[in-house]
Amino acid sequence: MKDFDEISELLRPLARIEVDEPGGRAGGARAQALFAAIIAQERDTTTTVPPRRLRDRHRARHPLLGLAASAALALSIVFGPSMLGYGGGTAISYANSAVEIREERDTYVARIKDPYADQRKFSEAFRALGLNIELEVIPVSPASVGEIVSMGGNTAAMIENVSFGARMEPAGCNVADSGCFLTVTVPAAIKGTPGVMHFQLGRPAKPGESYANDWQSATRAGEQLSGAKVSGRAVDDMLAEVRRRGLTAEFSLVSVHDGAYELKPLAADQVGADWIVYKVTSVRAGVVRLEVTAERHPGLEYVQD
Amino acid sequence: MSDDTDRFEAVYRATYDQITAYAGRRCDSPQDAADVVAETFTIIWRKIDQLPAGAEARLWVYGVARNVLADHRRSALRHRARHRELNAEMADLYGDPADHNVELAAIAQVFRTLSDDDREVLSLVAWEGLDRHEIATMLGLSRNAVRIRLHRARKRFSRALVQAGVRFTPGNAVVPAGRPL
Repeated sequence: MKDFDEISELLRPLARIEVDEPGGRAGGARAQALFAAIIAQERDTTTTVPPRRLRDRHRARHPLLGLAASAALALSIVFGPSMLGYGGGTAISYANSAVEIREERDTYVARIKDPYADQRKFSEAFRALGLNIELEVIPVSPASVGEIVSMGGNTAAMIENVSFGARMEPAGCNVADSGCFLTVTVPAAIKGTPGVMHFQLGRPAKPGESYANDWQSATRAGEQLSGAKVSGRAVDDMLAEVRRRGLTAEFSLVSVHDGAYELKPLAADQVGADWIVYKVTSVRAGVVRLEVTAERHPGLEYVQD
Repeated sequence: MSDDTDRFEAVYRATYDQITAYAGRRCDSPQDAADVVAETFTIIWRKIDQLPAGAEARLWVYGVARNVLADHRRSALRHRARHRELNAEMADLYGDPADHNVELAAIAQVFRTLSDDDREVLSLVAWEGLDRHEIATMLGLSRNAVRIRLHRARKRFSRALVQAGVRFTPGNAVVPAGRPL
């Protein structure tokens, strides 16, 4: 396990606003404008709320947000995503039946309207805006829904600016529900850079459909073996846990070479009970794949829980 | 000016930079960050009589910002162009990204797979530079609870880094033949 200093060192460069960089400027005109707007408001000193009340998820929103917020939400329900405009000159840039992409300041925001649409429609929309982006929306295991599970291609653009992102709108919603969208954000700076950039974005799998993110661990939160210890465990022990969870198992043989490893299909009757599990991934709902070796392999790093 | 206004001005000046950075690091768009900053200070103005004295004031402000951010995410409210000046402030901050690279993108992706609670405690240490005692005060938890949260978050993040499935591939192939160790 990494120590705190190492983790902080890893995380520090991820801060959008650098750690030693001041956020805004308290003495600046913008800060003063906000200050003046706030103190111009009446304070309701008779209805102050104790601090813990702030954590109440159902608390009323402040009047500053009140009426305008209600109006905005009501509009979004009536008109749906294709009509949303967030003020400040935001415009819809391109839309087809599968996806809507619009430019917002320094980014393009692609909202997936139909994650099961013909894949060509996603890339078609980006190309229409002059963006060399191939977007695939692939079936994934539950924890990866709404995530960019793989990126590749035009690495020059990636190095210069990595403000790529994926999220659910609204956060945590279910794609099966209306009004819930997978969203991908890419930096506008990518426009005009040579080469194609590939994205794979996770969508929920249909019943019985195999997951395309079959390299990601099945022990992640929300996955079929969530929280289980698998790495370095004997196969028969692991299978007992798999069965306990009502799952079935397939196997792959791990072969290590040149700083990477490859997997080969392996029939269940070729696997010894005392073989060692390196990793478990999800094949589809109800089925996991055990990546195994006949013995502990010195070239593999077994994750200690 | 009244005493309340003086107190608000003092805390506003002392924490504005930190709260704009806090919001900017956690919101996907400058508009959302501007909303969070504006609402945070509006609430502080309304509750200025509850402002703790001394060093705890800053942590209390962080706590308010944290709650506003959580509400903002839950409600999925969108910006309504109320604070154009502040929008510009935040947009400037967003327009100057740190020097990132592909490895950082991979770390960022793994970081996003952590729970909100794990990300929160790790980032409060790494980005805001708060110590355990300060985090405990901000979150209203015991120091021991924070210690445990940090330990578990660190453990899960370490594991997730090892297990990370996100791969960035040079060239044009998304899925390489080999798998990273």
